[in-house]
Amino acid sequence: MESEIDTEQEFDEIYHQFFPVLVKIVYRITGSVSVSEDLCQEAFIRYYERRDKLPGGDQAKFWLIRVVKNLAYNHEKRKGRERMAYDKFYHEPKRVETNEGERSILEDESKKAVQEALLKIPYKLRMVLILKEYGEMDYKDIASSLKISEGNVKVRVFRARKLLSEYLEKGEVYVP
Amino acid sequence: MCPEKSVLSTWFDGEVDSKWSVEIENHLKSCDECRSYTQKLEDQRMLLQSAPIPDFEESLERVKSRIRGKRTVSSSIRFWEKKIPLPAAAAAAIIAAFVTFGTNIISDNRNDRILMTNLADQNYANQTIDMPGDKIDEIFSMMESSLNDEFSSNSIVELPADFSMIFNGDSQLVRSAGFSGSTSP
Ligand SMILES: [Zn+2]
Repeated sequence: MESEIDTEQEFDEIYHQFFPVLVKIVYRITGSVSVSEDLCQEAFIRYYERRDKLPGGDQAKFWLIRVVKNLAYNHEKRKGRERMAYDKFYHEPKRVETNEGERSILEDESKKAVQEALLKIPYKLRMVLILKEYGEMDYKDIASSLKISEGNVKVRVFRARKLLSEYLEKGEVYVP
Repeated sequence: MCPEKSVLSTWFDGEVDSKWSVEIENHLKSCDECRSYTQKLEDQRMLLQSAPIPDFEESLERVKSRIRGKRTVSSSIRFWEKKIPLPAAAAAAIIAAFVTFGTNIISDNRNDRILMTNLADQNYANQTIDMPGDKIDEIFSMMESSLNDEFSSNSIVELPADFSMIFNGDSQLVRSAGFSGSTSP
């Protein structure tokens, strides 16, 4: 039987190994630092409580991703109404500055706009693209993490990319 | 003939097997259109990588200490907005206790039981439901699995308005989720 200290150490290892990547993934999905912290906190507590029944290593990462996927989805549904208000504002035509002196500010703005464009992609597609681009995962990892087929991953990544470039090109998001 | 764009997207991720991969690469040498599409994918990836990300160094320690502080009493965190399975008689009893008496939950430090004590009505001052820890775990796990829509109604657990979990160091998210104090499910 493992002592309490051993399992505490194991948990710490899992935490330090996966928190940095998990919190970044959740940030890309939600666009909010405090929500990312809260959801990761909840996911790791759930992991901690079931750590004797749960796998370690990459499988632990996949399990955590599955948990935050559900948590983030619930969060997004709750925030749905606020989001609609935000979108209305967001679709207002953007003023484009041409002044050379403001160029670096505009570049910063455009980088923020990428995150905003990501948030417009439907949840299921966004999730897969984010795992691909920010999660250090291949199609097989993403498939087993989300419990969908690799074919499905392929299709969702493609569709997410297509939508993202549409949002960026339509000028709904400013790109220099 | 040009490969489908979806195939180029898959190739771009290095997920096409080597035989096809060679063919696609040969095609790209002679086809401007496909090459410009893969360049677009490349540009998009660069843009995604360049999008600013907050520094989460501090978050790591902050969340870690929050988790530490909560491990012993963490079960109570699960009482946030969730769907409750109707067939679960035990869970229904708990909900009934909430909605009928405006029950308070007091979790003791050892985390092996939760006392549900009615504090709202003096007439029910002795109305205490004392549940052993394993039963509580059962109920929590049922609540957990009820995220699966198949077996659940749309009921929401709502705690009394004066209910506070601050002593557990709960996160903003948990506090804000569904604790509206309403007494109907
Ligand atoms: Zn071609």
